[in-house]
Amino acid sequence: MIDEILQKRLALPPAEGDDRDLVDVLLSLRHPDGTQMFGADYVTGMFISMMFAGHHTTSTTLSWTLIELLRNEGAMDAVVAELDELYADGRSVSYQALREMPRTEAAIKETLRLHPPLILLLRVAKVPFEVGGFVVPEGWLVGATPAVSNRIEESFPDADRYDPGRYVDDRQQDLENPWNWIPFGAGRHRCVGAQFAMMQLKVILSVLLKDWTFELGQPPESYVNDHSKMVVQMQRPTTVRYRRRVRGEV
Amino acid sequence: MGLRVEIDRDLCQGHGVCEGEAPDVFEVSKKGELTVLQADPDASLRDHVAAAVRYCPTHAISLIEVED
Repeated sequence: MIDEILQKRLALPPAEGDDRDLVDVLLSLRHPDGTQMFGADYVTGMFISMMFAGHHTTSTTLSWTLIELLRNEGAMDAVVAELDELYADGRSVSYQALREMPRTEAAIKETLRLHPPLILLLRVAKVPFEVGGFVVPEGWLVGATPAVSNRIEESFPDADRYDPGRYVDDRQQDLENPWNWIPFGAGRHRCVGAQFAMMQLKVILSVLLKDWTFELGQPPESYVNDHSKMVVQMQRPTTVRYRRRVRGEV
Repeated sequence: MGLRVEIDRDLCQGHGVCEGEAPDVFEVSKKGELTVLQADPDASLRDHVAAAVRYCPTHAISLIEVED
């Protein structure tokens, strides 16, 4: 499907200026010697990443955030109180507002630590290195798993416990552990959509929790991930009950 | 105790979020080249620099406490 679109664009490139979109720009890029920089395969890959990498990851994270907020006492109240106060004057869900919700941000980060939507990140070893007494030779394909790294006890005391307080005020366990707080990976290939995802999640929670209140629809321990598919999703059924908030009620 | 700003140039992609958070400390050109205006910022700028560290999309900034 994408190949067909690319062929059409190549055959009939749109005029310069506002008619050009990202597809046209990527296809028009040339190496200094005049050859095309990105072929159809490459551009297709980029679009698949952009279109799909950001969907199930964010939706799964949102589901897990709600579940963790509901099954940890006081967690939902803290977030709802923060958002109620923030939007009390009727301000809009703006870039500025999204920077002023540390509790909500911490709740999302803690969800990502415990339930990273991607559990295997593949990298190529550019130089040989030693890990646990084993030398990984240059050129090997190496898998890092956020699901394990994010729960290393030395970095995250009481690692299995959901505690948004890990990222509040002077505690910044994500920044303190840049190489093993890795729901978004780390280094040069850190997720390009991380910032966008955080904003998107904060926007959704801002809108959702303003008018709706939630409660668990099944026993707290029955919410688990399903690892049988290519992407990690919550195992169905995943139910919650919701109703419209009465103004002034938490 | 003083503050020191360190940049991992291998990671910086010039998004300019840092300049938005702490314009007295960071300047990013239209081409995305970062200039650190104050490598040892005053303590009064701590919160702004900390926000730049937190919101840098590529996690390229570190804020280090140094002995005076």
